[in-house]
Amino acid sequence: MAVISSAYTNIVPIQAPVITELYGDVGFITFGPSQSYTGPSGQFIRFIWRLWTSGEIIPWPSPCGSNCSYSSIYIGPAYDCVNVVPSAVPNLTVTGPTMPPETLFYSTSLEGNLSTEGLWVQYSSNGLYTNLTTFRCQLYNATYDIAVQFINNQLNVTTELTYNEPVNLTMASTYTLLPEEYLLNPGGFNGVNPNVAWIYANYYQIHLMISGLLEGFVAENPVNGSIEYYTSLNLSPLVGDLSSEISFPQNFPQKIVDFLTNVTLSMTYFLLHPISASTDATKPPALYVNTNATIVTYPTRYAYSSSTLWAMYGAAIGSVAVIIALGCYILLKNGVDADMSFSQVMVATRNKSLDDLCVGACLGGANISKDIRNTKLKYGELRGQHHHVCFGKEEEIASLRKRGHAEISNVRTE
Amino acid sequence: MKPAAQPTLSSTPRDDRNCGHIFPGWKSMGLWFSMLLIAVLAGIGQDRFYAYLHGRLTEEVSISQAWVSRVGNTFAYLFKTVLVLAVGKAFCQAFWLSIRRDALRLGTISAIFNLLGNPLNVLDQELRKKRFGLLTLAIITWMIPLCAVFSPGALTGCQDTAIHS
Repeated sequence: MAVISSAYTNIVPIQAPVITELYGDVGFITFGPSQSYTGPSGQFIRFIWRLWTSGEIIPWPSPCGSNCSYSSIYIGPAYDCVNVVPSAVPNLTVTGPTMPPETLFYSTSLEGNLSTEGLWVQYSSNGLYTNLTTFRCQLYNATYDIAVQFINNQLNVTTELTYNEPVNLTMASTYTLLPEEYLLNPGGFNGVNPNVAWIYANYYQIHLMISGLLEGFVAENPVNGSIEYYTSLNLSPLVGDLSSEISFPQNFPQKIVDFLTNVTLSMTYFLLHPISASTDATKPPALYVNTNATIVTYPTRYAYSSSTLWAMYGAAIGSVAVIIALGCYILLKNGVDADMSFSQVMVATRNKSLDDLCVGACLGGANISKDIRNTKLKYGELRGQHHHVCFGKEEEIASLRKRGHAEISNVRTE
Repeated sequence: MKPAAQPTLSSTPRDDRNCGHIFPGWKSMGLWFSMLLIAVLAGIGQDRFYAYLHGRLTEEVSISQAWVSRVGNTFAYLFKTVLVLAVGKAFCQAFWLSIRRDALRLGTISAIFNLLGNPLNVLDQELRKKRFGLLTLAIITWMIPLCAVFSPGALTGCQDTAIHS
């Protein structure tokens, strides 16, 4: 056995969706009446939550057909999450309501000086609160090298990350909180290029959203032993139902990296659903760029299922063979090869009483009265008339004997 | 002047000579078996045609997909047509036998007479009660054309990822 594939491939230019460098107001941030920062836009919040709760990227329609592939490069924010050895773990500030630290299964630190170093996460990798693993996710400006493949219109993306330089979160938070006028005017804030300021501001907004999703803790209540949690983590497919079982993924740090990758890839969503006009967005978060796609065409082969054909034909031939055998038997019994022709009807209806019955109904159709229709008729030998076979009223017809036609016909010849 | 003799419908010597010693139904029987044979040959023809196409790329076949479809449909049409004719002929024989048995309403006889052409005649109550065998034959006649609908579906086109031995 061998798999023979004779697919044809063509390389054609296409316009593929890709995210921009976010060097402008892409609508992630909203500003108040006094041009002060008010928080993420509603559409951006819904976008992040959709990704968080589904655990999958938002696919985009194929720009090159149902079976094709292309590659692309874009620059965007990326996390570099690494485990921290226990001796290097600082004292982390647990956000949320205070709980005894010895019962913590999961916590994040978003506040204080540590937050400027990135996102700190502590979690129990084996279900025991005494054995916590700590990792830190640092935000980078990174180059995404993506290979996009559509197989039967199903999207499959492989990414390769190259970290460029870490994002200074202190500076980024400053840019984010700046009044909008500083971000719009060249050199408006300490001579910083507004494009750069916007990139940092957008990156920081994304970081804030993801931090908010991871924020909180999971702990055991020391009084009744129940699990209590204050986090949005349980709304993600990353973990199960925290109230029944505490189970974190084996490669938790990588999952956070992947989530931000999903966020950047899914920004192509805004091509079809632009950020609403209620924001001050002036730049799109994604656009179409020219690239080459490899389009795979699978030729069509004929496939025949003989069982499908013969299941129907066999049943038909079998049943008709039985019917033909029955027909032969009936033909022998009739003694004449009768048909449904007009001449056959004519010779079978030569009867005076039928003529009388049909008076006034010669044109047929509506002229055939109900009485005529309800008259009982029989086919046989007319009583009192020697060897006259025809339709007649029930009382005037005698039954034909076996092979009646032939016998009567023969009698007439004599 | 003496009037010409009126011939009676039932006593024409020429008609009577047709009923000789040879059984008059041999033509019908021959036709029946010929029709069955044609149906079997049509089925085999369609089977061989499809078997020839099986596994071949559509581009490899000298006729277009449209013509492949037409050829398959022609086999299927021939198959169902001859079988419907065969059953229809058996229905005629059964009709003439059934009307000898007992008396029926003229409306019922009309309904049976036109049953193959008008399925609405099944609404006749007496037909359903007293001539169920004829009704069965009629239903089979109506069902046989379904073969021509489904059998061309035995040949499909699939993308070239199949396993070939």
